[in-house]
Amino acid sequence: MNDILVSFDNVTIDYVMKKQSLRAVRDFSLDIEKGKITAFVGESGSGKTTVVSALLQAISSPGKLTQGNVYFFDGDNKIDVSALKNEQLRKFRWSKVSMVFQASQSTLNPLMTIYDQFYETAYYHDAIASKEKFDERLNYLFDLVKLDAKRVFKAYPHQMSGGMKQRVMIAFALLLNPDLIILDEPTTALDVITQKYIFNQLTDINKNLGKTLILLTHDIGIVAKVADNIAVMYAGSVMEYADAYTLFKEKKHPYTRGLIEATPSILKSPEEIQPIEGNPPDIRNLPSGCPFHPRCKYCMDICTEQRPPLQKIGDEHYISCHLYANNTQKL
Amino acid sequence: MKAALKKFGKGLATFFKGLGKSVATFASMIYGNKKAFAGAIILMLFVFLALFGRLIFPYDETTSFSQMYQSPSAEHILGTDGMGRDLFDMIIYGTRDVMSIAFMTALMTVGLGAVVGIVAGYAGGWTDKVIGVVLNVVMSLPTFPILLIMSMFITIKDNFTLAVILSIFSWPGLARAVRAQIISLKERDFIQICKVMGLSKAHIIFSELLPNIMSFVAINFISSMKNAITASVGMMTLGLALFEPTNWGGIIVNARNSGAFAIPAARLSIIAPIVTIMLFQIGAILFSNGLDEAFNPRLRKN
Ligand SMILES: Nc1ncnc2c1ncn2[C@@H]1O[C@H](COP(=O)(O)OP(=O)(O)OP(=O)(O)O)[C@@H](O)[C@H]1O
Ligand SMILES: [Mg+2]
Repeated sequence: MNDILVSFDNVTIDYVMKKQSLRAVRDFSLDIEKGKITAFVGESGSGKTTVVSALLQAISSPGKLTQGNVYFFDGDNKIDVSALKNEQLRKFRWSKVSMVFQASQSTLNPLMTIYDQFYETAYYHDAIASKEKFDERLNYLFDLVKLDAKRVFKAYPHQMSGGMKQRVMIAFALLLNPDLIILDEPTTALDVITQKYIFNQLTDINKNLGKTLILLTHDIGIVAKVADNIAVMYAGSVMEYADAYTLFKEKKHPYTRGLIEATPSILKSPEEIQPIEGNPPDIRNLPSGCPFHPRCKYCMDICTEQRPPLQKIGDEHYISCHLYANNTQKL
Repeated sequence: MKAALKKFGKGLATFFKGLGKSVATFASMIYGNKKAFAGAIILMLFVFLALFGRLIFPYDETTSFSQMYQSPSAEHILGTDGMGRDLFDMIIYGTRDVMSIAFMTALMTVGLGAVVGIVAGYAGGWTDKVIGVVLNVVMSLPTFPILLIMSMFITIKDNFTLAVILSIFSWPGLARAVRAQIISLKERDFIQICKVMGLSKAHIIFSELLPNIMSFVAINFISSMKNAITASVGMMTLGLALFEPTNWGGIIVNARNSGAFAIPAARLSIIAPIVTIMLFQIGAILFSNGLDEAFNPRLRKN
């Protein structure tokens, strides 16, 4: 087993509202390997953003972590993220874990130049030794994401393109040199060439700087080449987790297979693209048993009755599906 | 506690640094924007007259009925009023009081309105509800009847008290508007992300929220100065404030009371102060448009 950086342990997150509460993440357990790129793949609403925000204690209100823990391994130190308070939390956020948000292009203050925004964040974290050192670091970071520092320093957000802002946000996430960076749909809304460009930079950041990355996306095709490990999510739970190669080769879980076959590619003719039948789940009203069973081609009686546990079926290969119930060793 | 204070200090420091930058950009922008420049010149003229006008154009208080309602001449640029006093000198003399009432009123209205609005909007919950009730109560007070009744018992003699009375009725409206702005800003992604980035409340308030409502606040400052000038005229007419013959409003009231409308030569006593008030308002409007551009990089042309 490789080094673990983050461990989600049985995490359940509810959005507690007046009329009813909504379970966006259910019994989510997963270890994130250090130094690797792990992708969370799932349809819109599958709880990707919700589950990772627990890692920053940033679940949007009225969401609550109702069960489980999130641990972060800082050297030999095991940090229980949900127990962090005030100053500890402030020191943890952005310095250990940072995030590029889903709508990250609007996370820049419209009234401040890019330079000032970086400066203030560093200033608040007492991370500025001298202005020269800081400028040096900024030049380095902007170089890394291939932005012309001279031009971007003085720019206001509205003077930059979407792709540029996205790269600014990646540089921003690197500012305090965190161990882990979460990227929520980092390339949605960007053209294919810019997408590729950004993924190249992310791979560099992972390989050369040794940063652990978590990528959230709804498009399994996009992360196929980039991710080391892939967790397929459905209705707030992990359906399958494996390294990218195994996952694509074996596509054991019917939902994983569905996702892969639904992905358009140049090599496929339009007839070969098989959309997954049925509708995305309504998490306010989940079916009994396996949440995927109404859309599953291989649905058996047991699937409508019992929720399949997450089981180990190979070396670092986990699956939540009754089809593989026999030849498994329990977790 | 110490750490909290330090953070608060940092927040304040960055706010003033940012404000300093805005002032600098504003100063440099003035050259590029003719209207804002004109506005600034007009306002500076008024400030200058408030400070030094009395020295340059001494005002002779003595009344002499033989000199009443004279037409403009070399000696009296705007002629004289109903008591034979130099109209131009009176207007200049009155500038200091008019300006200081307007300035103090605006300072209190905007200060109170902005602070209460920010607190209510940012804190939310119970704080917001309690403040909301207070605002509603103050806003539903019938201003005019209350002032009318007050005028039966007291006469305000100093500018400061007058400014307090004027601002008591005007701050809740601003507090409401600021609260609404803060609530919508608070939900914007770039504010939300601050928490996740581990930035303190002081930083969020002073460096992220305040600059974003600064142009709104500044424009309100200017317009509440404008309103205070007209409202103080009303207060003097009501008899709530001590009648000041050199106050621009006072000049108009005086002229009206002595039947200036019927005397062609006396019309200047009404027109001159009105034109002065208009000039100030034009300056204020032009200047506040410029402020908007100074604070909002999107509106800048460079
Ligand atoms: N603040 C909130 N209040 C109530 N419900 C929420 C809130 N945020 C998310 N949800 C619900 O939680 C579920 C999971 O949302 P989440 O944003 O985690 O999905 P996601 O996988 O990130 O989807 P997407 O790909 O669209 O970003 C959704 O059903 C959503 O409606
Ligand atoms: Mg999301």
